[in-house]
Amino acid sequence: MTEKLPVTEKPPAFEKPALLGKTRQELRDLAESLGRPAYTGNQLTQWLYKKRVTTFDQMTDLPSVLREQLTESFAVGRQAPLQGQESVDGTKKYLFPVAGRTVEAAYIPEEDRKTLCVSSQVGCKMGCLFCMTGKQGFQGNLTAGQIVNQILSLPEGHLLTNAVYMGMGEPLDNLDEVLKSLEILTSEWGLGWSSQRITLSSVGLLPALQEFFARSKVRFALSLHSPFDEERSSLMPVQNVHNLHEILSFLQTIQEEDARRITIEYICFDGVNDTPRHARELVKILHGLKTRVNLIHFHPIPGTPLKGSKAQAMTSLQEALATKGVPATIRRSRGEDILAACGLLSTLRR
Amino acid sequence: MELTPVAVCENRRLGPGFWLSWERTFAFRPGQVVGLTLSPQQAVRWYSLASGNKDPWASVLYTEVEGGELTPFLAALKPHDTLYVTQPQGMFSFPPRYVGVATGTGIAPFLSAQKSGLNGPTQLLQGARSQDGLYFAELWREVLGERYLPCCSREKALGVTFGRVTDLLKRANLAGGEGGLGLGAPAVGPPRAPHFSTTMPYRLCGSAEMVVEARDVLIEKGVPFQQIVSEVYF
Repeated sequence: MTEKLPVTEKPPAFEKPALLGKTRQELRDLAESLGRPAYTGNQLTQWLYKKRVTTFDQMTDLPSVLREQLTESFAVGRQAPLQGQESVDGTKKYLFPVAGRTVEAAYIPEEDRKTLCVSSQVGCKMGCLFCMTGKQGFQGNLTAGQIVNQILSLPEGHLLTNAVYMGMGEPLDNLDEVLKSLEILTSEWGLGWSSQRITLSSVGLLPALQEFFARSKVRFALSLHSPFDEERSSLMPVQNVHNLHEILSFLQTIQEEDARRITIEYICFDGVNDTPRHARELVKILHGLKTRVNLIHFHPIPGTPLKGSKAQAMTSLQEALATKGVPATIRRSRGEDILAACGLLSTLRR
Repeated sequence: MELTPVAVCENRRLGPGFWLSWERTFAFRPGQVVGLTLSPQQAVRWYSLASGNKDPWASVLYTEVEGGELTPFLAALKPHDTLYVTQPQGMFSFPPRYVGVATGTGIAPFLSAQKSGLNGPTQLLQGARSQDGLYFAELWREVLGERYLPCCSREKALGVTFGRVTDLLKRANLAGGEGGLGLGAPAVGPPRAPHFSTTMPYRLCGSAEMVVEARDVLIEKGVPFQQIVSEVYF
């Protein structure tokens, strides 16, 4: 059963530049450009990220003249979701408006954590066979403000403990804005989240991956999905440019000096990548990498030739990996009744 | 990422795009890409190599994107200017016989294969907005004859199908065997539906939107997804 959630009907149009998504330094620079002391930028930072206000009028310790000036020239940048759906398992999916289109964010409550899966782009360029977002083509990058807004404007935003960059889009293909959003989420002046509570998931784009590790401390998950070059290239065109072995080699090197957690995401497709042969090759290519494999049940999407693996095949794969010292977890499927597959809801809405 | 400074040999307009060449300093396989930048401090952008792998120069095809971070600056390059290039990488490869589907500068890897004398396409479906974007159409006509299927989405011309490559694929007859002739060019009447094979390998290169749609059409018409390998622009 699916429940429609009450949310805003019509989004406000942002014709003015938004302040949400600016770093403290950018807000200090902005304050100075308006003839105010840099300290005013700190106040703006507090209002945006600590007190989470939605209008300039709520910034009551700013002079009224400045509030009027800000209202005239800028938008705060907060936008409530347009539409939401709730799954029987408690997962909620929201559509956020972005320049006439929508992006998805999925709220996933569990006993010990409340996670939001955020989007980083409108559409995607990667063209993965199993992904609905790719069928939209690519419409643009989200700004850091539009990424952070998904967290702040979520009706359950105050409950969130974790965020995963696994929604629509390839985060490393929008590196600058994604890194800026991570800075806002993890800085003491921003949301103040621990880097351990955030995971960025990617198909693996070098050299953006190298830059991500150099400039951020959040966790990383690699979308792997097949250990064989040719098979992976049929599933994921990116394999033809950024080879899996080069990415794994980089991750092994980085682990020598960087202890952050690296996860392997592995969607299981019936008869395609869930056989003993795949288990053996996975063990081989992951040798030397400290990692955990998340085995994920495939959420079917319209028109795909792929089917989700049977439970027995996933268990066998998990056991085959564990026997050889590769820890693997079968991730519980969430929100299938609300089109929780990445990009499905927003694609059907177009 | 190791970058090598190279001197530009040629940067000439070619239809709606540019053909950029520099003295080749590496060996490569057709289908591979190189990263280009004008400064070692800036991020590289990836381009498929379009030249033959025995040519003394290496070349890419690119389109100038207004407001883009690199292409407006690439477009201003002159012979002897310095360009920074990565080593070639990637594994987009070509079997002995296959159907190529390309739009815009996505023709580059097929061109490289053809110019290298290594597994050029057996049948080629090439798309562009207008005829001048059908890069090297004369070469393809000469090499492939009726197995060359050009499409233009915004210009009508003799021997060129009006529409997008994905529209043509939707109209196509797909069956087992080698596939076959292209459209031909009937003097009168509606264009004939082309024939493609469900058993041949397919190689797609172009925008993600085209690649995803073309792949969906081929799969729907009975081509196993394992036979379809794509390279997308990003």
